[in-house]
Amino acid sequence: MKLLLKIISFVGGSILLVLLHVILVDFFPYPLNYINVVFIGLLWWLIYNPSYETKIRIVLVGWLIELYASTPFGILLISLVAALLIVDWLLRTILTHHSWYMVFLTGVAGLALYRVIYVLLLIVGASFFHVGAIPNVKILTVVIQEVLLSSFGIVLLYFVSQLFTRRMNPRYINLT
Amino acid sequence: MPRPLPRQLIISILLATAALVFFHYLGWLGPFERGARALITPIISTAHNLGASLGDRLNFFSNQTDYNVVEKNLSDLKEKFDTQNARLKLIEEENSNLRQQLSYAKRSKIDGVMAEIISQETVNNEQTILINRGSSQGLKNGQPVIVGDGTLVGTLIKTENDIAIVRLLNDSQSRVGARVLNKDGSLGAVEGGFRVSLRMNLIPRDETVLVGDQIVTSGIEDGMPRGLLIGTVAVVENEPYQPFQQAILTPSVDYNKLSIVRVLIGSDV
Repeated sequence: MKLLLKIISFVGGSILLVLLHVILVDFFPYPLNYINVVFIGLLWWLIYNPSYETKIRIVLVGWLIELYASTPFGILLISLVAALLIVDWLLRTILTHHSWYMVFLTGVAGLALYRVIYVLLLIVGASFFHVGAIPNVKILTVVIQEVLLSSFGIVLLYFVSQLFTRRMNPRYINLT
Repeated sequence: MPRPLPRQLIISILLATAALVFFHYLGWLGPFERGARALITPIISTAHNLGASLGDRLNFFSNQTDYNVVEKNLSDLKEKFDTQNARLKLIEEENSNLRQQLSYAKRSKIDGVMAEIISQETVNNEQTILINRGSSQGLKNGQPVIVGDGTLVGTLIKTENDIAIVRLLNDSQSRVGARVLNKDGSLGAVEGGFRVSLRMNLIPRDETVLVGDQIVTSGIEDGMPRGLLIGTVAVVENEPYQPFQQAILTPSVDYNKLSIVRVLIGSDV
């Protein structure tokens, strides 16, 4: 029973994150609608609880958003998983101090990696497998806006989280 | 410092990701994906409507009720008159040129499928929308999507069994052959990627394009009927050092306020 509840809350939490993204994208005016709420949520989860369960959640959320993506299946999922695994390594080895500027850097690095891998996969898919389309240079403006706005978003979430939990506060050492 | 994840667990995550992609292309995950969409699509549609209505409330005016009624009536009326005007101009042009070889009929004779918009693009920052019809209703990639009496809003770029994705005209990757309803019948290409405006390029410099001229599809491309309304000219850019002139267009519809569309699947398409 406990396991079933855990699975339901795991799947429900992932679906809720996707729904929150849909609501906020429609709610916010330009350019705030470029904020990647899914990435912010997953990154925050990764910082707050870098467990195996969180990594599985990344795969599940990636699969859910693939169901409604316009790009060929797999591009978003692989970009998301690869970028967040690399960010996880960065958080463990380089950006270990959970201060607000490190969280901002993590956001910038993570989103930039995500979009670089995404664009590379689109190019590979269009060039070798003739699926999808190579994005044009206008995507650069969109990506820069997304990276900056989402990084500010996760910093905001970080400050709010500090009010409710010690785990996000760098003054307390994380012994887990 | 948190304990590093064992290598085997990281490999298992990468393998799980690769397996999802591999089995998707094998077709084994089809039932699960359809089941997940059937479960989640109504929720996403509700979330989309909730987000859009909350966003609209941000634009609250003091005399909201009256403003909304008048604004909606005027928008519907303008769209109707613009579409009829474009159709009349085309019919006049064809009659005057005595095109005996064309069996051009009224646009309403092309078969279409009505579809409701579930959501707009949320993860790629593209100008696309999701509709609740798919390949099981005869939809295929490349088919045009219209609203009202014949205003083009985009084309299908991806179809699944029960849903499809429409790339709107104001998307940065959208390109459609068009013509200006002027005395020269100027041809060009309309592309998006300029937020709310569209841009028509490759218009010969020696042809006269005026502000207020209407733009319709040229019908040059396969699968795109001619005469579908796109927008009106707002600004003309005709620089002497450029080989072609350009026009910035005002679209005939607000792409953020679409709710019902029609996909043209008839034999003429």
